[in-house]
Amino acid sequence: MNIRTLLIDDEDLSRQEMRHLLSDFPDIQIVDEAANANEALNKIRQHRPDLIFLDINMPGKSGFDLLAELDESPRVVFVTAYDEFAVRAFEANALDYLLKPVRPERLGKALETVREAIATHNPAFSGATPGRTAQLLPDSQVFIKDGEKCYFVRLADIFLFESEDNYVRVHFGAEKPLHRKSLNMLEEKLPPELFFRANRQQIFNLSFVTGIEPFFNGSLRVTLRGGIRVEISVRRAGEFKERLSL
Amino acid sequence: MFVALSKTQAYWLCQVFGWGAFVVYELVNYVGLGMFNLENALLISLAAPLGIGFTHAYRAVVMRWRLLEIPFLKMSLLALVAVFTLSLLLFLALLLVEWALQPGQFNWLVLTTPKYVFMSVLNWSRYVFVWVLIYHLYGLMERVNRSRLEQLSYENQLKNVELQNLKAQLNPHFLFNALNSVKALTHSDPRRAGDAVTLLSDLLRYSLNYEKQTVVPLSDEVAIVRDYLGLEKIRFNHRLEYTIEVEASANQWPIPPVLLVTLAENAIKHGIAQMINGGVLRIYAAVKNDSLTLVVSNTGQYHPNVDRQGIGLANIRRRLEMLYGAKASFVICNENNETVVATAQIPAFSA
Repeated sequence: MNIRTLLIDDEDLSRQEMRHLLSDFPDIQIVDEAANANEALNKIRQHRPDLIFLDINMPGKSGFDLLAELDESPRVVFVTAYDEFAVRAFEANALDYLLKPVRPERLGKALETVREAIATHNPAFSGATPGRTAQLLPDSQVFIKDGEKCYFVRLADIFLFESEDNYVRVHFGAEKPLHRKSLNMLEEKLPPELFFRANRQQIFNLSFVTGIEPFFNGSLRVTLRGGIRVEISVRRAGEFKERLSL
Repeated sequence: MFVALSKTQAYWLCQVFGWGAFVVYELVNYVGLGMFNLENALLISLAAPLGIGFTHAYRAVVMRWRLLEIPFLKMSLLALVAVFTLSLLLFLALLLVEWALQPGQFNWLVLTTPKYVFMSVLNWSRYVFVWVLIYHLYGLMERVNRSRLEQLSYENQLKNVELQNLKAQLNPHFLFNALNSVKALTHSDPRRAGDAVTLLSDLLRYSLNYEKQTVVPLSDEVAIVRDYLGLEKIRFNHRLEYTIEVEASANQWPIPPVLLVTLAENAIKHGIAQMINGGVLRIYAAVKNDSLTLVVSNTGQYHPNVDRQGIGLANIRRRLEMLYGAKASFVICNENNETVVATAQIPAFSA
């Protein structure tokens, strides 16, 4: 299977070098190039690539800023010359990163990881991008940048979205970074079979529910794996019961 | 077994032992001269706490007014005055003690005999002198030690700045990007790749050697900046345009090494590299009124305290200050909405 790939780097020579290196891998099909984050945003929308090679230091917006703007992220291999900051950010969980100048065998290894990821979670990229209302999939990857820390997380692994001021706190594993999106915008794109809007503040993952009990005045309280409790408002309780009986 | 004493503890130990030794010495003396009696013994024993009291008060005055910091000659004078005053006070205090012990037998007329007063004060001053001498010598010793430490820390600071400049010069981000460009050129344009390697070598050589000199002629620095910009031009291509204008009078002017390189690097890193369409870098140098004006302007905007550009600029200021004191200046500001200008004024260098 061909892996449709977009190269994003502000330096012509850098992209040229990447093209040269990738020519050894016949399954990598380079669909386009972008020289900055805004251009990349458009081209990701246009091509819906399976994979992007992303430079971190770019004029205007960094590679991280670009990803944070997307609703879901394609598979990403970061490419950077030297960046302590970047390497620190990767500790969370990223696909892979390469250092410039790139060693061919190192690139080969990164591509193996990409192929594996695409094979296990396929299709990964639904094409939901800003301005498009396409629904995300349980396997969609979301990139979250909270201050200096960055996270890639599979939608299905998130158990709770909680609005906080104008942003959303995203709970998964032991992490709960702040995501710079609004809860309402997110709700539109979340797969409804997996996520349920409990009240004005919270959206939870149905597959994480371990217990349901009646609460005050006809509202419900669900317990999620890990012990977090979420109250389902009276207005939403009816729909929740309906959903469960299905 | 030794126990580390604090300065105050050591001071009090010296006071007690010193004045204790004084008492023992005087008593032995009286015995030796056959003049020992209870009255003398009592007076001498009372003189010790009085001595401690007066000298301690003197120490308080010295510490309060930081008199150990004043110039050596003044301090010597102060010490002499102190010896006299303390001796006089001791003498008078002991007269009071004598009178208090035997009011009936005491004769105030001794005070009207100048010779007696003078000899008594002189007598006391032998001891007080030793005290004041030891005290001030110790103070001087501390002062010398401290100034040596200060000198060391100053030198250390200077070295640190040099090191930081070296690090800033060998900016790894620049280095690896340049290497990556060269690698790309090896298949697309081998000739240019070769040229780039030469430029990079010159730049590396310069940055490894520059710290051996305090100043370099501007023309040397300009040559290296040309190499540097040549490399960045390969990387940024049409996104980077630059002009260098150095008036003939400025060519030989001595400047701190890597100053101009650092300015150019900052201009690219924080200015042009941040612009999607790139920009223009201008370097201008001229000598006016016995001072070099060095101007580096670039497309971009200066945001004080944003990201890490503060460190490089602070380093430049510190280096200029160390080499020229207040005579050099460095200013960076936004000329308009799209241009940042950094201006350094560098006076003639005198080693």
